[in-house]
Amino acid sequence: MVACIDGHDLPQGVMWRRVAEYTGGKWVRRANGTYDQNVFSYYTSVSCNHCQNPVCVKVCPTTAMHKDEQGIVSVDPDKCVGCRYCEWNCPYSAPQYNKQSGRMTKCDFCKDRLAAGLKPLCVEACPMRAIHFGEYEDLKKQFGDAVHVAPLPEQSVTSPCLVITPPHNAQPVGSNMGSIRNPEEM
Amino acid sequence: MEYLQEFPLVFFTLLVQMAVGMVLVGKCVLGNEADRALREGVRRQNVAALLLFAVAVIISFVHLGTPLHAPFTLLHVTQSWLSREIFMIGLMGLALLWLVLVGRKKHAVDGEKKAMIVAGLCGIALLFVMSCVYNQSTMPGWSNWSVFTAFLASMCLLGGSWHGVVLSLRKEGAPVRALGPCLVWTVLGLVLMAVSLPLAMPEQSAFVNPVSRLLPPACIAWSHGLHALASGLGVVLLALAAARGMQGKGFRPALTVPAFLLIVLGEVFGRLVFYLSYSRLGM
Repeated sequence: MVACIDGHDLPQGVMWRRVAEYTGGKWVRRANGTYDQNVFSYYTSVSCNHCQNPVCVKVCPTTAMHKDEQGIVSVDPDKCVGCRYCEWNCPYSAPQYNKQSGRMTKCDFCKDRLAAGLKPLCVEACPMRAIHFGEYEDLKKQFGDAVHVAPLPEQSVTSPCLVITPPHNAQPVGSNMGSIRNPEEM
Repeated sequence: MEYLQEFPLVFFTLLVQMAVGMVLVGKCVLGNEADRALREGVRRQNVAALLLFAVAVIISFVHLGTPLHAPFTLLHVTQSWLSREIFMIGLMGLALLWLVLVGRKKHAVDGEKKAMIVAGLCGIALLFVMSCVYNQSTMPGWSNWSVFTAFLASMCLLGGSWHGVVLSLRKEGAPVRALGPCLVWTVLGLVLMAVSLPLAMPEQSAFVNPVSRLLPPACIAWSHGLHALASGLGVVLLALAAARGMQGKGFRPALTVPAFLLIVLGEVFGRLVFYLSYSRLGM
């Protein structure tokens, strides 16, 4: 997240990558007076998933939001009118409005770095090597089927190109067991 | 989505809906009336509708981050409902302009009536397209027919009550036959609102996404209630004014103006609540 903000010189409030802290569960008193608990907490790092069926591209009135032949969804600043309609619709909050330029901005997989044979900034910077980048089919082979967990939406909505290795206490999509506890960072 | 970001959209949508309502109610007020003064009055209201529409379009630019790129918004009419809405705005603007120009010609009564019907139908199509901008599966609070019925309700309430005020301000008094359409349109607006709210509230109150939600679900029901109360009181006042007018006691602005103001207040508040009830699937 910090590498992304730094590398792209993003203004305050614009975060192409965000980390949601999803927590929940409760303590339940047993008949013998002891307590049991199902408290959970895990992190989900999300940026644009360059969906196969990107709703932002579909709703954009100017065609500024587009998907190129490599499958990367990005904004053409020479066309964007700054209506923020893509922001309303994207279930991952990927398009972010830049007040200074009056246009939408978003993760473009660090296109310039890819062209130079480098990996995206977030992938290189993650100290836990928790983020990977590659062809979607290759990632599915490596990490298994594209499982999604709460607080992400159903995959069927936009068919995101995202594969997640769920943590052991992950909640299913649509679960109301927990909530995002760092909304100000989203 | 931020709180202040919604104000231009509140006024843009309401002014467009009022302009459409003014044309449609004006057509009904006119009927087959040969009264020249009444025809002139409705003609002036058509000009007012065009001006109001122009103001709405100007306000819509405030919402844009880069207004100079506005011409590009017509590039995606094939897929984007927002692009279609902007196309329909252009079409409606042309229809209103045609209506006003036809009205300036002498002996153009038939042409003017046709132009009013065309502009009215164009307006209803515009409101449908406008509702589809919000009726999207990723925004569950708005993802149903309540948006279209709510927009139609605003059109009826604002158009009907506006003509009520105009008729009550006529020096020669309001023709009794013209009072019915004003009242019928506002009552229709209230009925549409009654249809819309039960459709909207369960979806808008569902706790879909606390990150994107601006208005706590608990506030939504009473906020819509206040909106309905203001509009209901406005229609009751207009009904009282119409009843007095039909009894020959005069159709007084003392009742029609407060009725209009109550309806406008209710609509502005209701539309603000509508935008604040935004919530999105996912994060």
